Amino acid sequence: MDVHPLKDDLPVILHFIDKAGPINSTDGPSTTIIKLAEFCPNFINLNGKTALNRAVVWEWLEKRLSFENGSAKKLCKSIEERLQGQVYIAGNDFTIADVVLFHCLKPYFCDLTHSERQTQFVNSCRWFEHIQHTSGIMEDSKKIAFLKNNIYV
Amino acid sequence: MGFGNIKIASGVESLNNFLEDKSYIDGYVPSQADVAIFEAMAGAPADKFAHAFRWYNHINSYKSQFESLPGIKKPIDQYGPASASAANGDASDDDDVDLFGSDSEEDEEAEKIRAERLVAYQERKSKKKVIIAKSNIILDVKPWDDETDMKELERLTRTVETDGLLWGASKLVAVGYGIQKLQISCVVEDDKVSTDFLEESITGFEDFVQSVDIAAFNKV
Repeated sequence: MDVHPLKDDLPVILHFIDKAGPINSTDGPSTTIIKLAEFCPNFINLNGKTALNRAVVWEWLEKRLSFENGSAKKLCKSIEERLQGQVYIAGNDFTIADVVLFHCLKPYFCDLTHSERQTQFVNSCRWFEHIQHTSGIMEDSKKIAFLKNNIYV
Repeated sequence: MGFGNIKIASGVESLNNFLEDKSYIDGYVPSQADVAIFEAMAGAPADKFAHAFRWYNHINSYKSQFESLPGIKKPIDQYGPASASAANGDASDDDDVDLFGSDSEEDEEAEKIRAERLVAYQERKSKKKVIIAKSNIILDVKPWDDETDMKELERLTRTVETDGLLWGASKLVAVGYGIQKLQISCVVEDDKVSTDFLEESITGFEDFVQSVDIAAFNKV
């Protein structure tokens, strides 16, 4: 069973995210992303199951925009707090917010050292590792290896 | 294999550690592995086990779909970290299947990272070796009388050569009654050159040198 049968739809959105630019783009891409996500015929509730989930998705799509280009670390810190108690950004379900934030923070995660990953960003790294193994998310690029090392515990 | 008895705190703790960097017990989707552990638990984990608690809430949200989740339920001691069976007491080594083995690509990457670290470590180690204890010494070389040729004395002093010895600046300092002494600095490697050696070598020029004193001795 494939929980996230996104393969045909996601590239469109990912392409859009690429075009919309990195974190600092401010011309209202959130609306477009959510609209595009609605058109994923294979996938239900990519924008969130309940009204609350949808609000959280919107919150995080907007939050991404409020962080300027250089402050990926701040964004990552707030995600780290958010993910302390849950598996996905918007609770228990995979949403478009996960996709978007994943792609925004990918370069940042690549640059983190192993000790930083394990000491400062345990939760976000678990989330990242999880998302990168979701089918359709990372087709062309190489996955990042996350190692748990007892040295840093 | 196994978390030990997950009905008690020690088992929950090992579950918590295991879930620190994982979202599910096995793989990247909720499966019967999660269901098995979930059902074996005595209830929601305590707050302090944040990772186990998060996982528990997450699996709880799948409750209506437990039947349809993929995978085959196995005894719960077949799940979890490979080395945490001590608390359990039973060694279930009859199963060679590594449920949590990473795929080869990740292995390769991990191997690469380890190799890189090793190289970096060795580089650092070799750099450390290069640091050698050195000292900056200033010597007072005193002649017999005011008729001693100080230029010749300095020339002779500088002829003392050995591995790890480097002569520096020198000057003549008046002592009194027209007599001058030679003050000369040098840098030595502590392991290779001793002050005794310096004094002996210089007093070796008996016609010129009356005595040699160490005016200053500083570690570099």
